[in-house]
Amino acid sequence: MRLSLHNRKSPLATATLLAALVALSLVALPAANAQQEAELNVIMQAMRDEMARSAEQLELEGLEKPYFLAYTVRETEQLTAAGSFGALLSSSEDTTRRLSVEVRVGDPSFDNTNFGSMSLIPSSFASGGFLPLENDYREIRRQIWLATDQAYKAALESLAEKRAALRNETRAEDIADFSSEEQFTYFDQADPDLPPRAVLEELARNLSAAFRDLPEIFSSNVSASAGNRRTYYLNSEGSAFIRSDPTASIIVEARTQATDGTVLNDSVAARGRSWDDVSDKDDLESRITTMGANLTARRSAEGLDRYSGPVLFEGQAAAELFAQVLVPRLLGSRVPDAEPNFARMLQQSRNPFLDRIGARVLPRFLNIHDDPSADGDGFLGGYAVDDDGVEARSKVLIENGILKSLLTSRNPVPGIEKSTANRRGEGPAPSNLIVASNRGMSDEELHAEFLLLVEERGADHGIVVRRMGKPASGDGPASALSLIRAGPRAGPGPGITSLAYKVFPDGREELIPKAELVAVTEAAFRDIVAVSDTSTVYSFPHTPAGGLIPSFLAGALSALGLGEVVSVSIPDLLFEELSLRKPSGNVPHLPVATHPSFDP
Amino acid sequence: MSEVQWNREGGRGKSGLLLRRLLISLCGLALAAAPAAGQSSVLDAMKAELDRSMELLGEEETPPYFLSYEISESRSASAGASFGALTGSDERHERLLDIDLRVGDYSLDNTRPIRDTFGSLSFLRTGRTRMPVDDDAAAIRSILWSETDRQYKRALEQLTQVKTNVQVKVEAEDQSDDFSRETPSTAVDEPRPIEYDRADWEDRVRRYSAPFAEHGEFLRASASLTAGTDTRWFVNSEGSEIQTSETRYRLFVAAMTKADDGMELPLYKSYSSFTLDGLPDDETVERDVRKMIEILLALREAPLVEPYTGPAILSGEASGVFFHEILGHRLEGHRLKEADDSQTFRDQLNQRVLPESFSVHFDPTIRTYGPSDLVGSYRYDNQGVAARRVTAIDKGILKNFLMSRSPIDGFPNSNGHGRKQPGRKPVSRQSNLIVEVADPLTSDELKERFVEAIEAAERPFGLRIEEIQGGFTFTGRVIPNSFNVSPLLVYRVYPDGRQELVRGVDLIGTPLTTFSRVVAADDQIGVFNGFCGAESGMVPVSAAAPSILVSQIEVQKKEKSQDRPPLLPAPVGDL
Repeated sequence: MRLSLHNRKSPLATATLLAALVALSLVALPAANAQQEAELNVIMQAMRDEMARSAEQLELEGLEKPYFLAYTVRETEQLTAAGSFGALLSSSEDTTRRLSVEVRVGDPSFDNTNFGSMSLIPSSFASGGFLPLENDYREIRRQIWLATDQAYKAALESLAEKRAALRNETRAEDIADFSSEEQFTYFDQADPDLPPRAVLEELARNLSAAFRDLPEIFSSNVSASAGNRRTYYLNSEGSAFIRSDPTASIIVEARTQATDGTVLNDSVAARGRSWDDVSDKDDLESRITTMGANLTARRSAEGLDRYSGPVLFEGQAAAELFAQVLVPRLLGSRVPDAEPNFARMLQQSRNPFLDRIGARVLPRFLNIHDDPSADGDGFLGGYAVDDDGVEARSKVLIENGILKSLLTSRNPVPGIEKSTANRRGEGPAPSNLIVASNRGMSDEELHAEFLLLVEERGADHGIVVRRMGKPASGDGPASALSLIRAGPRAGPGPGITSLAYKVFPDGREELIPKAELVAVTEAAFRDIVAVSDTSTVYSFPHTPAGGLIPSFLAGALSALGLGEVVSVSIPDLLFEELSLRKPSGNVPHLPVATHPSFDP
Repeated sequence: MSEVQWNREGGRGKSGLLLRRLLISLCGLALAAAPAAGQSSVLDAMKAELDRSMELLGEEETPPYFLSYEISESRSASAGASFGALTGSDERHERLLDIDLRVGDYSLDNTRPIRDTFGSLSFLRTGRTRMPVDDDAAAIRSILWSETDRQYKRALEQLTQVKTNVQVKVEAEDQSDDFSRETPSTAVDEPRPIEYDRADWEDRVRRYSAPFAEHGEFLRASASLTAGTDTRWFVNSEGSEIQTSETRYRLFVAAMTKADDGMELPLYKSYSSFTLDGLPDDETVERDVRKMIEILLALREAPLVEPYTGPAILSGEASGVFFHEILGHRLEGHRLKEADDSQTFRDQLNQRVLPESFSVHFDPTIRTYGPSDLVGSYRYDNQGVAARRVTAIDKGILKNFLMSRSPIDGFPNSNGHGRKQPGRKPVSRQSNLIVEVADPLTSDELKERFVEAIEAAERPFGLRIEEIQGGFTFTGRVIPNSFNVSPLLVYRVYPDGRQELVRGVDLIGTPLTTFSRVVAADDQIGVFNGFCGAESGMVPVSAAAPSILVSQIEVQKKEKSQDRPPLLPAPVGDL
């Protein structure tokens, strides 16, 4: 049962509209949902009542009143199960309701946000909290009241600090702190059924049991999850929404070592909106078997020393490379004002594309747009309204190779004053990024073009990459830490191939166990020579930077699989020249004892 | 977190007993269900893989001389509510693995601390290793195998470093071995079930936390019920095979208000038991909740205490925490071996440290004291050594230390106090601390002595410390060797018997001076059950002690929040 109502420019007062909607749904929905509808209303009602009181009365004597308030409640219901080698490792069922409060003081051109403070004001980390799981109006209001109070006090302190820091400086870029947007309301009451936890547990056990037949895989892990997140939003400008974001995923990770000790990883991922979308056991088992066979073959394959020349990225590899290198550049993240020393540090994380709008950043035959309305066919990043309450819409980012815009929240960046409705969590994130070309080649043509390039260079062979790993997939969390330690300039780290082949002019292919891409930056994408006429749709988690999450940490969190699901649709990419080398770092020894189940 | 953890790497000692931790751990806890039968198949799988590992690694150039596996299972169920509304209700089940693999020999092995470094980042490599919750031998052994391999390689690295460090540095003050030789133990307990009625528990925590909602002054108020069964399987290469199981129930009520000057005023009530029936009935809890409300509202209006030195009485519960912090942590044997520890009691052995009438025991083998269960009890410690009673102070004379399998000069063996939380390395920790006084006064006699002490000190009043939230103590050398204990309830007591509730003080001091001022005790034993956090993590501990009179204590102003109370009054009214 799904009830979606849009209202572009509400002629009605929000409260009246909400009441009307509730009444409507009471009629339109069966009894079970009517009950739920009435309950949902408790959260919205508590937010409305406390917001009305705060907007009117919240004022510390002699200081500014808030000019903007927003409340977000994220209600998450999540089932997870993990398995290893045929047994259940863990399973959980969690329900939380998290409140966050946004208070702005000053005015939209200059307010308490976009300031990197050197001082740690404890209250600025506390403008929110957990709400009870029951629809207890009084208790929900109490929590909103306390969080609003803290957020208001923290906002006043931040504004004072920001004013002090900028007292003796002229801002290099005088951009407003908050964009003005149309009021919008949206109510989606979808309440998908989650499977029983035992179903997830059983699949985690069964899928992980596949590794009992894969003696050359040293360790493996299956994690399954299914959940729903419902977001309730209200701001003091009258925008409001209830949005339901169901997700499900199954991730299978495997690790082994090549005969020379090189650590080899690979994974199988299924992502979708519902458990049924991802839980096709036969399909997953066959993908695990293929992964196992690939890893086994990679164990004894001959390593690559170094290579420079044409590289063809196919399918997942093209999408993953794009996700790691180009996607972060398409986000309009603001570098906050700060005290001078700190400001220099922050400037290092500035996205170079902020200064490239109007410049050519891709070959002329490529276009990119972000389309939150794409749904089905593997697209999972869509939504109707973003986390600022702005109505989602499609936008062109790159046209004929020229950078036209970046994706933004209501936090403006130089040259982009309005939100593109891409706030997802703390900052901007893509929805569904679609890379399209008017000059795509058939697979045969593209392959021929690739071999032609190899031949022109007089090279012995070219390289085709069919799967790429996550930058952090080296050793799990340790590598995520290394991303954080490397600091704000770290970017996504070196891309690691999980499935790559040398391709010889006669079409013969030779497996490469593992290789590392050398210094691939956004500039390399300008030199894409050709693309295929077919596209791969690929989804991955992305943690947006912003608020309390600096960009280098956001990269690490994304690599750990946290954040919002983003989809990309992208053709195969042929690069005229890229460099690969054998993985850097020393190689660990092989296990001393053999695996107990495969001990002869 | 940092408040109670030992930062081992930084070489500073700080450890403590902090009830506040409970609030955090309670939201994280949870899950139950009937335990599966025949759990010892876990033990069999562990034993088989241990034997195989010792055999295969034994063929290496540097073979392990000792290997142990411990799998800790936690099944828990919990329900929590805030101001009458449910905030959580869940069940959890997990198993974690700990491996102790040693290369070298008993006298010198890879675990010896590297002296004179600023610590290392190696703690980033430690993590929790999750084990299957199914009793599946192949899956269990698969993880044991890969973790053993990892630990073995790490042990080889460590041994190389240790050997160099021993060569490069001056001779260690303490020449004892790195690992003690102990008799193997075998024991198999049946896993215990959890009694848990979800709907009833949800209802109870709602009811217990609801009365706070009648007062706008409270900023936080919660109640939680938790049941947890800890089952442990332990095997080592010396032949120990142990399976133990223990269930604990806990009810915790916490509330916080703020004085007009910004000071946060928390109060807690905690009840622990080995059985569900051992928790208090509704009537008792509801009465205690009303009392908490009364006290908190009174505390908001209570005057602030200025820094003061003078006589004080500590109630039984408060003196238990006091002994735990100030004495107990300094009797933990491994500290006496650490080059940067102040080793307060190292040279006090066989000397008087308390009045002759005082004895202090640590006894994990007793499960109750009077009507109270003692959560610090256990049968075997985390190194598989049988628990036993340790008389640390006998008639005022220091006689013994708490020992894990890390020996110190003159104490070559463990006395069953090697403890840890899953994922940490065991060190010597406290269990049930019991203070016994040979010739206790009556409560009235102690009060008389108190008044005499106030008059003798020419102070206008003394302090009566009723409840303690917890505290911490520094045992290192870099920071002065001191303690800080945070009372929740303090009264000024005037010589005429009048008493007045006050707020805003912490009890501070240095250990030896403070002990020399303990003068008398009564016969009113108070029991404190809580969790103690130190370098080996959080472990349940208990203390049972009488009220004591201290001729001179020192209090300082408590750290205070500078945040104003909320600007608007609490919202009122219903939907």
